[in-house]
Parts: sequence; C-alpha cells; structure tokens
Amino acid sequence: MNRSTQLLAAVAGTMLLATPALAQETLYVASEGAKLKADKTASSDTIAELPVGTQLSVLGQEDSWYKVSAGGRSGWIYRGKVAASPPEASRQGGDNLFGGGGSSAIMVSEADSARSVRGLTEEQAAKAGNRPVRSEAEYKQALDGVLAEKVGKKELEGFLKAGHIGEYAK
Amino acid sequence: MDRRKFILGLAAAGLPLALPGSVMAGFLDNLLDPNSKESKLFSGAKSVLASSQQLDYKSERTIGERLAVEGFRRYGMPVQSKGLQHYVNLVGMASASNSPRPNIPYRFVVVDSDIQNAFACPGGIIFVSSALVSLMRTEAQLSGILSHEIGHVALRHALKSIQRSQFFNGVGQITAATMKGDKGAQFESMIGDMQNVLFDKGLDKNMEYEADASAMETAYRTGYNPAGLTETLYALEKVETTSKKKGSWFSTHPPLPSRIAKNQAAMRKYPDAATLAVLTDRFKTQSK
Repeated sequence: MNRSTQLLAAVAGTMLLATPALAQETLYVASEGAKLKADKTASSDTIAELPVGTQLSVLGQEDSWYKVSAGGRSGWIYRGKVAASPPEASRQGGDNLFGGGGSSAIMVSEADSARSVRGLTEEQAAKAGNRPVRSEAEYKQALDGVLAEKVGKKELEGFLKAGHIGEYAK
Repeated sequence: MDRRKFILGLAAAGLPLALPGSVMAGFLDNLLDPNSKESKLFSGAKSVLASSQQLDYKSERTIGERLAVEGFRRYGMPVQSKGLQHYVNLVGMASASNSPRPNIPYRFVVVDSDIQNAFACPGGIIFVSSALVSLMRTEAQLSGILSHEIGHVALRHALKSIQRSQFFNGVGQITAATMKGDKGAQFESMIGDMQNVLFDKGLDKNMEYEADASAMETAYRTGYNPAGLTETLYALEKVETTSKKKGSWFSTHPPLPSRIAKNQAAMRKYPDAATLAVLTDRFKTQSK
C-alpha cells in the first residue's frame, strides 16, 4: 500500500466512524403536525407541537423514535417527522398544509383562453377526447369543488391512528 | 439562457481578471464537463440566481389552477363520489405533510377517465385518473403515486421545465397587469407549453427518477411501505400493451422497467419496509 492509499484509507475510516455521530447531533423538524411526546409512543402526552424547521438536539434513539431536546424541553419524536436539514421555507402567502384552498383565483373568462393556444375549439377538443362539450363555468365549478375539499388536523390524526400508520403503528 | 451560454457568460464577465490565459482555457474546458469540480461550483451559483427569480407561491398557484382547468378539459371531470375524493385527500395530505415541501395547501382529485395517468399542477393540485386508481390494490400504493406527484410539486419540476418561457422575463409575481396585453399573450403561451409538457411530452426523465426517490422517502416517513409506488408501476406494466397511450402515464413517463429497477435498488434504504402500513382492506372499502 503506498502512502497516498494509506492516507485515503485513514480518511475513509475516520469518516465512517464520524458520520453517524455527526448525523445524530442535530436534526430538524421537517413535517407538518410534528409533536414532542412524553414517551416513545403516540398515545403518551404531547409536550409541545413543533413547527417545521425547529432545531432538535438528539439525545438518543430507540425503535422508530428519537429522544430530543428543543427549546429547553426534552421528549420523543417519531423518526418520520425529522430530517438532517430543514425543508425550504415555503410558507409564502400565509397559507399552510391545512389552509383552505378557497375558490380559484382565476376568472371564468381566463379559464377559457388557453384552448386557443392549442388551436382547437371546445367542440373539436371534446370530440377528440370522446367527451361531452362543457361550459367554462362547469370547469370552474369543478375546480372550486376540489379547492373546497377540507381535511382538519384532528381528522388526519384519526385517519392515521385508525390505519396504525407511522407513529400510530402497533 | 442555456447552461453553456450561462457558464461562458459568467466566466467571461469575471474570470479574465483573476486568471492568466492558459489557466483560463483549462478552466473553461473543465467548466463544460458536468462532473468537474469547476462545473459543480458554478451550478451552485446558477441555482442561487435561479432561486432569486423564483415565483411567489400565490403566482405558482395561479398557474396551477389554470392548468387544473385544462386538466378537467383534457382528462375528464371529478368522479362524483364525495367519499372517494375525501379518502384520496386524506391519504394525500397525510403523505404531503412529510414531503420535502410540507407546508402548502395540497388538494387531490380523482377524475373520470379511462386513461391511466396522474399529474401535478404547480402549487399542489394533484390529479389521478379513475383508471389508474382502479389498478391499485392498497393504500400504500395510492400514497406512492400521490407522493410521486407531490415530489414534482415540491421540486417545482413543471415550472423548471418551462422556465425559459418568455413570460417569466421580468416576472416574479403574477398580477392583473401580467395577465393583460403582450404579457397576457405570453402567459397563454406559457400555459400552452406547460400543457404540452404535462399532458403530452412528459417531464424530463431525470425529474421522474427524482420524483420516484422523493415519493419513496415521503411514503416511508409517513409510515407506508415505500414499495407501494413500484407495485403500481408493475400493475401498469402488465396492462401496457392493452392501454390507451396518448396522454397516458406510458407516454408522459420514462419506460417502466428502468424506473422499477431503480426503485427496487432504492428499497435497500428501507430495511424495515415490510413492517410498515399497507392497508388493503381500507383501500378496498374507501376507493369504491
């Protein structure tokens, strides 16, 4: 083994030893609806709800849970809620995962214009797709129906719990 | 601006001051090699520039809503089942909360179509066709496909595909003014380009691989078996010869065998996958 190979091997060896320790020192909350729990089970008390981006110091790991401290409080967090780096800041416009879609921002008249780009009339497009001809108001109404769909935090928790998904696994 | 011009422009603007001629020539050669450290250094600078021109969320959503209308026109109207639509939104929202972009308001819709496909509009409105849902057998499979589309939204793939559209020159925010006159015509043209990408041509194959990897991670973090995505790809492979191709998953996504192979290799990252949620019975009851 020559000198540079030895050096490389030494560096690689050091990295292998060091990486897991480094990776576990600090984690960040990366999911909506993350909770700091009193014990490593979803049914234990919730100590705090942790916003996305919260920095966590890792104290240990058991099963699918990390023992962490955040802002002077310590507890347990499910592994699926954290990442090695915080997700991008995308909370623009004051909305969030559970925010209302409301009704669409586009006007019926605006919804109509893109077809001209494709050079097809509504009748031609519908015929090509073997579909009935619909009015722009109907498409707009369909979009508003999609945006009006609501899922609440509590309902989502109940859904995950009923399916024994993630932190609610048996 | 294409990559080569960008790099050459950047180099021409700043580097002659810093480097002698002979070094400069070697540097440029290296810069044009995508695997060189010089190239990687400058791709970092390029992404900083790109992000400073990033659209705000409201504008991204406006484009997405407009695409959604075209989606109904092209593929069909929402399936008339409140139960099914709500169930798909529950699975989608549960998955999205653990995605790389967890805090925007996603919405999911099943449209009545015999073409197997799913696609994502910028800003988080995600379509899946009734024909594709009918190929699935478990909630983990549904989460896999929805998480793939969530990945496209999170990584802004559709917007990146048309970022050279004239409309985006000098536009960081869509307002009433940018919807009128010349800009208005460019907006229409940009929407047309995006339809072409999402409904006909498909996204770049590397974006698809990236969305697959993201989907498996999202499903796993949520607590679903991440094999669900690949199981659905298998189901698609089985019906490929007898399915409609135009505007379908087959014509807008890379060949299935390459994706299946990549995803199977990625399963090594999830040694406890088999212990995670699959939910065959709930899917069967709720997806009717």
